Amino acid sequence: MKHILVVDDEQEIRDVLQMVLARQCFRVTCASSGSDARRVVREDPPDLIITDLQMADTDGLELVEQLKVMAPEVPVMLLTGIVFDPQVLRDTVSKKVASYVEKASPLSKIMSEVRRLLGE
Amino acid sequence: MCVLRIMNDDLAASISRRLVLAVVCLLVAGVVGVMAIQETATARAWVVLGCVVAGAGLSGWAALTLRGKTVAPCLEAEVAKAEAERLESWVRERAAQLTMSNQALLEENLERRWANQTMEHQLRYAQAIIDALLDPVLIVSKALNITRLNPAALKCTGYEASAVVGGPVGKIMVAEGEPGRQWEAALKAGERLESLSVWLLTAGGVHKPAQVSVVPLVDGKQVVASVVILRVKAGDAARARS
Repeated sequence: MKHILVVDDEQEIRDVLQMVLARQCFRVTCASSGSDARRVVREDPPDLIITDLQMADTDGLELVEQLKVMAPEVPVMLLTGIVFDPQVLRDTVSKKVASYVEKASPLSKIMSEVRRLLGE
Repeated sequence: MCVLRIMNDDLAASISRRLVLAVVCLLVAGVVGVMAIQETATARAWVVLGCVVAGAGLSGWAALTLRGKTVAPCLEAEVAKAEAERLESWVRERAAQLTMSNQALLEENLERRWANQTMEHQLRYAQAIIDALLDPVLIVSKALNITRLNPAALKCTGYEASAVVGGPVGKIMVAEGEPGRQWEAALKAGERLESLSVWLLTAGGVHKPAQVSVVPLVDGKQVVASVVILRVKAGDAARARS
C-alpha cells in the first residue's frame, strides 16, 4: 500500500484529502505544518508528498527545498488556493516539484495526478 | 402467489386422478358382482380379471397417495427453493445497486466539501489581502452603491460598515463639476480613472479632500463593479472643511 503525506495547515482540507485517498486504498499521513512534515519524512518516508503552498510556519516552496534534501526520490505535488498569475507560478514551481495543481481543481483531477505520480 | 398457484394445480390434478380411479374400481366391482351371481366359467374368469383390475386400481390409489405424501412436497420444496434463490439474487442485485449509488453520493459529497472548502479559503485569503491594505478601498457597483469596503476605509470615514454597505457611494464621496461627471461615468461604465479629486464625507460631517483611482472589477470578461482606491494626505486632511 502506497504511503502519501498530506501537508496543509487547514484541518478540513486535510480531512477531505485523507478520506478521498484512503478510499483509493492509499495509506495517508497528515501534517499540519512544515516541521510536522519533516518529522514524518524522517520517521516514515512516504511515496508521495502533497503540500499546500501557503502555511503558517513555512511556505510550500521552502518545504519542498528541505524535503528534496531529506528524500530526493519522493515526488512532490504542490496544491495552492490563491493564484494571481497561474502561468508565472507554474513556471516557477514546475522546476521544483513533480506536479502543481490548483486547489480549485476537482478532486477527480487531483486523484488522477496522484495516480500518475505514483505510476499507477 | 406463484407457489400457491402451482400447489393448487397439483392438488386439482391429484383429485381428478383419484376420482377416475374410484369410478373405474366401482365399475369393475359392479361387473364382478353381476358375473359372480351367474356362477359360470366365463363369470369366474371375469371375477379373476375384475380382482386383478381392482387390485391394480387400489395399487394406483396407494401410489397416488404415496406420491401425494412424498413427490408433491418435494416439488413444493423445489419451487420454494427456486423462489428463495430468485429473491436472494434480487436482493444481491439491489444491494449492489444501492452500494454503487451510495458510493457515488459519497464521492459527490466529498467533491462538494472540497469545492466549498477551497472557495472559502480563496475568499478568506482575498479578504485578508484587502483588509491588510493601508489605503482605503471600496467596491462600488455599477448602480453606484457600496458593496464592500476595507477597515482602512471605515477608519478614514468614521462609519460602521452597516451604515454604508448597500448604500450610495455619494454618502461618503462627492466630486463637483466636470470631475463629478467623470467620476460617475467611470463607475457606471466600469472604466479606469486615475487620481481624480473628490471630497470624502466623514460620519462626523467633515469634508476631506482626497484623490481616487477607479479600477474596473472584471469577472470573466464582464465588468461587474469598480474598485475605488482613496488617498487622503495628512496635509489635505488638515485642510478639511466642515
